[in-house]
Amino acid sequence: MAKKNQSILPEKGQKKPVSQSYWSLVWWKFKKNKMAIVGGIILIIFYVCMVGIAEFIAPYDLEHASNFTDASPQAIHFIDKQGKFHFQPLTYGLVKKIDEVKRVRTFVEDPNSQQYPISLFVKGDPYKLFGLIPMSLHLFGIKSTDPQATIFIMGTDSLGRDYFSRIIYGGRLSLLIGLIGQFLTIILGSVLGAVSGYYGGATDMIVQRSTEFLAAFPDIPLFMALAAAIPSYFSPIAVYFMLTVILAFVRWGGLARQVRGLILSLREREYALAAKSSGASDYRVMFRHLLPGTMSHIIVIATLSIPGMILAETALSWLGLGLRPPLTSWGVLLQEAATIRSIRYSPWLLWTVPFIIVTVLAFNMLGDGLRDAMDPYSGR
Amino acid sequence: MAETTKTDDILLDVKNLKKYFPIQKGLLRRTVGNVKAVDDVSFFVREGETLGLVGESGCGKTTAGRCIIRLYEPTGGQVLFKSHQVLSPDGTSQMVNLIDLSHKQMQPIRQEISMIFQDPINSLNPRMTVSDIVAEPMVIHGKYHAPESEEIIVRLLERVGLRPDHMRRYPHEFSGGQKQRIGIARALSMNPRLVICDEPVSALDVSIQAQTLNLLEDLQKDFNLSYLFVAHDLSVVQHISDRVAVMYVGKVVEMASAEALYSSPLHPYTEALMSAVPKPDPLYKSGRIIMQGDVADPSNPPSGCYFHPRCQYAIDICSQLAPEFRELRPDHFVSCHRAEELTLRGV
Amino acid sequence: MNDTLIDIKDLRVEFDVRAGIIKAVDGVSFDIKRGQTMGVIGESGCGKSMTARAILQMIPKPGKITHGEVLYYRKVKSDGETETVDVVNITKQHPDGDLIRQIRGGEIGMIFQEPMSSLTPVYTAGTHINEALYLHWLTPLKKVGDQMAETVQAHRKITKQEAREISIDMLRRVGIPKPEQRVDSYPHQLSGGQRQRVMIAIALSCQPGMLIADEPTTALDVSIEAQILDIMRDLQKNVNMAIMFITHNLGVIAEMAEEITVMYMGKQVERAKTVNMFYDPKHPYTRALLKSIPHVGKKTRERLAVIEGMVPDPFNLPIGCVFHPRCPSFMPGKCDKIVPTWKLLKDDHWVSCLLYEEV
Repeated sequence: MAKKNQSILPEKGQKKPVSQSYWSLVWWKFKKNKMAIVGGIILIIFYVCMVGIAEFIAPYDLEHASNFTDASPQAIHFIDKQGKFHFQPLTYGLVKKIDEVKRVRTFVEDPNSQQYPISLFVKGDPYKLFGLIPMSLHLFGIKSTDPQATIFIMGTDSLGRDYFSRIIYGGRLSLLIGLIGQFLTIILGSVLGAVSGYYGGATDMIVQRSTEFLAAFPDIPLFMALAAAIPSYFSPIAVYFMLTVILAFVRWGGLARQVRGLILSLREREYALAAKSSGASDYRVMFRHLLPGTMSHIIVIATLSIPGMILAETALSWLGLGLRPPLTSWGVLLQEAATIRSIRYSPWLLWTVPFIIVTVLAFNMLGDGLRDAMDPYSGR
Repeated sequence: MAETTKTDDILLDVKNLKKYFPIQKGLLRRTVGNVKAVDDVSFFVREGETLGLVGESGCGKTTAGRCIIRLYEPTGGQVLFKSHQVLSPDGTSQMVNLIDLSHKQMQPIRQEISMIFQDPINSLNPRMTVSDIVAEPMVIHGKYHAPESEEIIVRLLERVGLRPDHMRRYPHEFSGGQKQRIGIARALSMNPRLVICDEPVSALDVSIQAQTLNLLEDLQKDFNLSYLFVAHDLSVVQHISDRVAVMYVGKVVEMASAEALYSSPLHPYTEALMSAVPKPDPLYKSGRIIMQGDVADPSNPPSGCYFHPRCQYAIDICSQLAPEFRELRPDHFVSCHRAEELTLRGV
Repeated sequence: MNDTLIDIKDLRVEFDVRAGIIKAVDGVSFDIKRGQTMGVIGESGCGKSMTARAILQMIPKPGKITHGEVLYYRKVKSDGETETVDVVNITKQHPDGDLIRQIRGGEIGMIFQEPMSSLTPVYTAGTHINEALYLHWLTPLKKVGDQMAETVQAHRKITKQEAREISIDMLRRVGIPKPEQRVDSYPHQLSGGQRQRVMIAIALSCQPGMLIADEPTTALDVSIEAQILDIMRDLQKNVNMAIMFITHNLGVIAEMAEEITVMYMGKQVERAKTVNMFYDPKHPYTRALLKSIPHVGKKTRERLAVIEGMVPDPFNLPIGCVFHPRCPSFMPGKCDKIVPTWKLLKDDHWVSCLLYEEV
């Protein structure tokens, strides 16, 4: 054995560096971006509250109708009519108000009514948490059994259902469709993009032309056609599932093109060639070497595309082409709010919109932060 | 070609290797021509020796190396390799034509031939740990069994001058020279017999080049390796090679022992190339031969001898007829019409 | 008569990156005279490129010149004929100011190595692209000929047609075949080597008083390299152009430079006339470097002499002489405590090493 080469690394006195995998570097860089963190936190809150424990957060059940139709939002007071301060906020009861001229009946706050203190962790409509655990505890509400004791913080709709609760439940479907749809898109797009970029030739041509064909199709008519093709006898869940698949199907082309481009550039990287020269199968090269290199890009693209999906579902449902009652998503809620009459006389039904905006912004902030973080070697 | 020299210890025998890349134009992608990256190339490597393959950009040396290991599929010719995996009935190793083999048949032989790449940054997958990178060939061939294989990896890393605690680290934490060592360790993990070194030191700093070259030489002695050393740097090639083949635009123009080549070249291109290399000696009287013009275009090479437009000794026949690659002196091959009559200057 | 063109005095350039401060250039002083070729040799990270950029106020962020001066002795033609020499303190100029932009390209030209091949951790890709635009470099969307003509016209009063003629001529001189056609091609249509030659052509097209060449031929084939070095030498003779030639290739520098400065980890370690540097190197680093390269023609089957160890971590520089952990002439007690000073030995031969100092 020839003389062993002198040790190469700096010796004592130098700090022993901790191993840094790519993802830990990414996380380190991501943490520095305050906007992205904010976006991320908002999304975590939204997803947990709406997808996870919507039943707990929402004070009322989705379909809990009441006599208080078209009620305007009840204000939460800390100072009562007498000017006294309460730690525990309270609401006042509702009283009917009829406008003879406009032929409108709404409910508004009745300052003469009793005070109803709002408490946390109140027993209300029963439900099954995650579909399994029977509970009836809600985050907030009013303890009393008085039928006048209501807490419609965003008003009610024409059937007297609490709008805030409906937004929360609606969020579940909208947020979930964005996530699942994007997930399907990632799978479809990355596999097809990888195969197309790696093999080139005829495979590439077929995939490319397909994506171009889909991209050239006008969006709305395509959705309409596909949505109309869903048989009407499908159960609402099946419809929901089909809609998710449709959205993924129309959108995978964009991701596939990006992945294809990335694979094309990575394919000739020497570490891919090294694997091939060692005898790695195409499958191994693609999935062990090339795709992981594209993962960061895919995540960023996916994150920034989720809002598009949510908005697409919203638009479709609003047009009546997507989900329909009894399934409730933000799009469905907007549909119900979409008459001039509603906008004029029950404007609180538009509370859905800020939720959508915040969601989209949060995703964009998160996506931007991820994109900046995904290049952790760039010195700054 | 190998008749006049000893043949029994030839490990790799490349005969008339061709690799053409089609040029496609137009909407229907018609093939209008070929880039003849490797155009009828023949050379051989003996066991335990280093053959340097030298030439400028576009000469096809890298392509030739990749064809041998079948990263590219050759367009023609033979690549004969004496594989231990393929034995003849009496138990001796046989020369196998790698080009004839299917991908499946090629698999076991890939354990015997490995490659070291030029670019230390891109030759290691940044998402894999050092240990994963070095172990990959073992995994691919189904020969990875922890913990014995881990032992092997540790010893391999130490042998190339790294430390066991580097196993869990990632490539970006190392310097260029160290990354190259990782690549070398990877190339050795299956105990190959032939290592194709594709410009292994070109991207390294001068002082690291020296360390790496020394390492390669040590490893060659210890593991009885044969090297096909592809490079453009004549001084590096001269230092490490036993024999050298000079390539120009897809052809081998000269092949000889390193001493013979550098002291008495037979081909005008070799002479010009050696005179063009800047010598690290300010008092060296160069009397340099400056080749005019650009390196010839492999998609549209000159007629006859490819080098004739730039050759100061060219005569009529040079533009009409391509010269034969022949053994002019023992173990000294050249392809030039005027090789017998010219006396060329070495360094 | 004062022949000095550039005078660098105790230059320091620092980079403030997240892990600490890197002293890219740490106290470098030398001068370059008109018509002279000064070679600067060193390995990656030694600061030679940064020194060159400091001369043109082109240090990329987050780097800064923190100390020292770069003086440029500028010949100005006042009233048509009389030439006076203005001393311009480059370090005091604004990097985007008019004066600097006039000097850059017009009076001092610069050639880089192809940037995309070597992204050090201190630059982002964006910086490189900015540079390209900075120096009217090869932007991908314009024809090569147009870009060359622009540079020339920015500094000389000539018509577009004349500029085009000059461009074609320069392309021919740097060895690009069919220059009349090539002048209309886009950068991506040229090979890397050809692009580099276009760069050289652009830098030389205004016949600057000084050329800063940072690894200009590293990416080129040997035969083309020989041509380019020839062109540079030619021009130097014709126009009395000074060259600051930065490279790690000892062969090239032996040919081109009259004087050589050796750098290591941001510091100068030795400076001498070329012959003296090669035949009588004083600093252990220079000696080791010279012994570690294979020479064409000197065939030895012995191992190359290596410089032991590795380049130190820039955030954890050794105390005392920065080379001491790797130095074969290390003197314990001295070299690991005292920083050597830059000393003139005889015959224009400077060195910074405790072997030549009384301590």
